[in-house]
Amino acid sequence: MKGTNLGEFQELVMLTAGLLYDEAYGVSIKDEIKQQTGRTVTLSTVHAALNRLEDKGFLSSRLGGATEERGGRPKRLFRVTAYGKQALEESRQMRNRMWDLVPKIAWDHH
Amino acid sequence: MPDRPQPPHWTHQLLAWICKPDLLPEIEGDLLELYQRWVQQYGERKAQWLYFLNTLFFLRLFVFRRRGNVSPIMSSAMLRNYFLTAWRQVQKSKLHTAINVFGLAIGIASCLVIALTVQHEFSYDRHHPDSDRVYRITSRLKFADDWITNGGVSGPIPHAMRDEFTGLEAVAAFHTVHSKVSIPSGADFEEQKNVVVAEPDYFTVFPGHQWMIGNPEQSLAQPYQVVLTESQAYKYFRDQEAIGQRLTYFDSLDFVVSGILQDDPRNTDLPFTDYLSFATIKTNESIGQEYGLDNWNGTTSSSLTFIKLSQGTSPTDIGRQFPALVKKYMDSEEDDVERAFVLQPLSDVHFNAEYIMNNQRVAHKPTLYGLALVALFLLLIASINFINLETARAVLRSREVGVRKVLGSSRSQLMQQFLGETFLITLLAGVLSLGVAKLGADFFAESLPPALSLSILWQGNGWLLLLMIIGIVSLLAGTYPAWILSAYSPVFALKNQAMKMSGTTRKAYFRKALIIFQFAIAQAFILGTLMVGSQLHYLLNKDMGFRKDAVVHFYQRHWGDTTQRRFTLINEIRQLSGVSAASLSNSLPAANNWSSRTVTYKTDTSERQAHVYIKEADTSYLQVFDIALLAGRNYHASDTMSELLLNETAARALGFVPPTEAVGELIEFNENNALPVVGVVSDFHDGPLRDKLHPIMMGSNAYNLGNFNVLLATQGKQSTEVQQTLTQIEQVYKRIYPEEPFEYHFYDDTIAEFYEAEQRTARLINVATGLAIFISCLGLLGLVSFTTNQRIKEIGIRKVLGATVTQLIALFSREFVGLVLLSFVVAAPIAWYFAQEWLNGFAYQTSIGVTIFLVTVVSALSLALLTVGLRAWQAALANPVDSLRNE
Repeated sequence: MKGTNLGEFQELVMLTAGLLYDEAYGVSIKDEIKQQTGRTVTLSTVHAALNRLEDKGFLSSRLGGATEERGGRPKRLFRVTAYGKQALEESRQMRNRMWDLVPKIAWDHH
Repeated sequence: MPDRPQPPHWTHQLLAWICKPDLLPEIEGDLLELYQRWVQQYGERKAQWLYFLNTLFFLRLFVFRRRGNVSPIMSSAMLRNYFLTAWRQVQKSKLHTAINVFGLAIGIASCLVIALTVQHEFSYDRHHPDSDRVYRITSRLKFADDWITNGGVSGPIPHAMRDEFTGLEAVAAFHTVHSKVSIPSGADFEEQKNVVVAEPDYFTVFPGHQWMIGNPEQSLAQPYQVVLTESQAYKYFRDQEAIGQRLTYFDSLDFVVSGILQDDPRNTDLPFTDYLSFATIKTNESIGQEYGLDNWNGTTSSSLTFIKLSQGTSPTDIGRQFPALVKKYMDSEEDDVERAFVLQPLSDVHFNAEYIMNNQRVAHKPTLYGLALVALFLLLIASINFINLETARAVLRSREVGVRKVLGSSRSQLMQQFLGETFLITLLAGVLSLGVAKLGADFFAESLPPALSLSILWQGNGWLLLLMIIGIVSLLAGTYPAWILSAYSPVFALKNQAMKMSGTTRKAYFRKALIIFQFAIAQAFILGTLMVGSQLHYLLNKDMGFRKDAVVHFYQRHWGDTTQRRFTLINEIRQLSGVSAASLSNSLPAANNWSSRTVTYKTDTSERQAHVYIKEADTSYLQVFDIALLAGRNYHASDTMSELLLNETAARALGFVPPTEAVGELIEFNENNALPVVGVVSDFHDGPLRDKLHPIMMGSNAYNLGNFNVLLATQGKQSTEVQQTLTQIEQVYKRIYPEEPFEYHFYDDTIAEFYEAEQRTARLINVATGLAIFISCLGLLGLVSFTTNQRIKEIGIRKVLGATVTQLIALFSREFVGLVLLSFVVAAPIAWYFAQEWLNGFAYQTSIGVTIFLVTVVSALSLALLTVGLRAWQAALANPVDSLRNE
């Protein structure tokens, strides 16, 4: 697990990028996060996370999809890399494992 | 695209500046996409705002840029290297660093002290809520031909204003008084000077006071109530409960403490501690009369009125309503005084010496501006030192620049580095300047506002001021050297040819220009010092037309004193062996107080009027002050004025040519009162030499005399004998006026006091001159020691070839002699112009001769030569073997 530490928000961004598949770029990720979780995030927050994740090798990107409403500027479209998927899975497994380890009685408040 | 709304163009530039270029297109694309959406949702205005905000948020990407190049200036390794380089530079040239730091520290310290002074002076009474709507009513009264100003108004005016004026929110009438205070336990308190008789409305005009106990209506509306400040209450009652206690003011009136105000540490010209209720003087008729409550025509400067205008009223709206008031109440037959009233803004109160209130100190704005200018110049001189030394030494660092450039440094990076070094040096100077400022503030305590303390630097945002000065100075001093340094081409620098580009190039000219500027300032200061000093000497030593040395004077109130004791006193003083003459008069020959009137001289055919100043004295006056009688005789002693003496100017003003013709003529005061002129005296100055001397009329009048003037016999006497005489006078005085303190002054000291402002100016400019010269010479020293070091081999070779030490010194000094001479040419006319401006404020001026200019240029030259020569001499004495041996 060491070395592939994922922040909560980073994990959220990666999952969003995954579910958007080929349409994952700044604005769409921001919108999807809002839709899925109700959280409003600023564009720069998303970009900061995306840059960071790409640096770590969890995401890969390509340029494409320049439209008129974007003033002819391209989108940077992100995709989750195999390494990224592994990190996500590790994070999920770690959670599951820990969930399983919690004794039932700990949830028993009633 | 033209159809789509676009965010303003400058936001593109902002974004381009914030973002790394390779990230720009995608980020801008995303933002534009959002922008279209925002326009739909919220409209264009809000969309633009959101766009701007979101653009700003991208700063985080800039700061935490992870992708692409790491900015080298930010990396800790580079930073460490920069600090190391800076430290090595400091070590390598301790003298230069010391010169730079020390010069800058002096400049910054003077800036600091002066900035704090200015801030302090402008802080007075700015804290009152709505202080921009508060004004003082001041009076202008016209007696004969002269307008006289007074900071107060006559008693009934404020109350009439309150009833009859429109546009006023509140009127505060109050009287400042001094009073001894005693408490029931019997303890007495010396005369309290910040006592005021005020109405509750005082606290409506100045609502900033915090009431600890009570409120204006309950605590100050009834007769015989007094409100104290916290510390004043403590002074009277210590830890006892003050409320309800009795205090006795004016020896007989008992007041009950009914309210306590919190102490207010903020600067104010209304520092009152005891507020007596106005209702007291309203209900008690006899006291009311004393305060002139019903006297429309009497104006005293202790009866003050401040008003607060209603919102939207202008001062002229109020001013317009005065003529009707004057017409209604003050236009009587027997009162031929013309009156006008002027609204003085509260912000002007601290700076206007015309209406001094309750002896509060006023600040002099031109002096403050002058101070600021001086500080600026000192800072400039110090910065020039820095620039000159750094550019001269730039060659030494050319190789460093070359290597850095070859290794990939950009010019802007190098500039950042050098500016950073300057900042460190300046920071060091800034820290040192705190000590210098403390020393300076102590040394100049008497020229600075008394309440000023450097500790305000640590309160609030004071340190920001220091940081701001440091920042500005680093840029001022550092930019040009950084520009020069970072400009070296690596090719030349590494081939060791950077030297070729300096010396006779543009840089050297620039450096020379700066030296000229620096020495021009220094010499302008020298000229200023000499001119102010020469005028001051003239003021203090000019023959005023009367004797001022060996004369002692003191004063005793004579109003209402029906006894003969002042005549007894003066006669007893005359008997003393150490006294050659003594006289009683209403005023000294030259004094700040005077009375005047218009008189007429009629012949059968013509009529001449003149406005003359009147001095009343006994017959010994001329003898004590050695005023020469030109024609006729002195007047005879008389209880009321019956004979007159005129001075030459007065005689001339009345049409007598030559003035001595006036003897024997009749001068009319009014229709049925004319007095004969029995003599004409020579002119004498009746006030500071700022003003022209006035026409003067003298006569004998026993009732108005309160000034005792004693001429001591000092001829051939020891100072102990003179002291003994003074003690004898005091003994006589104490016998006749046992209850009054004996305070005497030597007349020449009193006259010197006329010129206190000028003496302060002189002191200030002396110090400024000293500092300017000192910093400039430090700079020269630095430059010369650098050039001699650079040319050490040349010196060696010249010596080997037979040059003498004198020749070598001349070699190094020649250049600077030219520069100093040139700077004198720049400084002389400027200093001359400003000195003339200053001198024009005096009716009598010293003449500015060539000597002053000669002294200036010679002293500047010799100081520069001394600085340069010493260093050059040291270099020239060195054994050429040492410098030539190693290559």
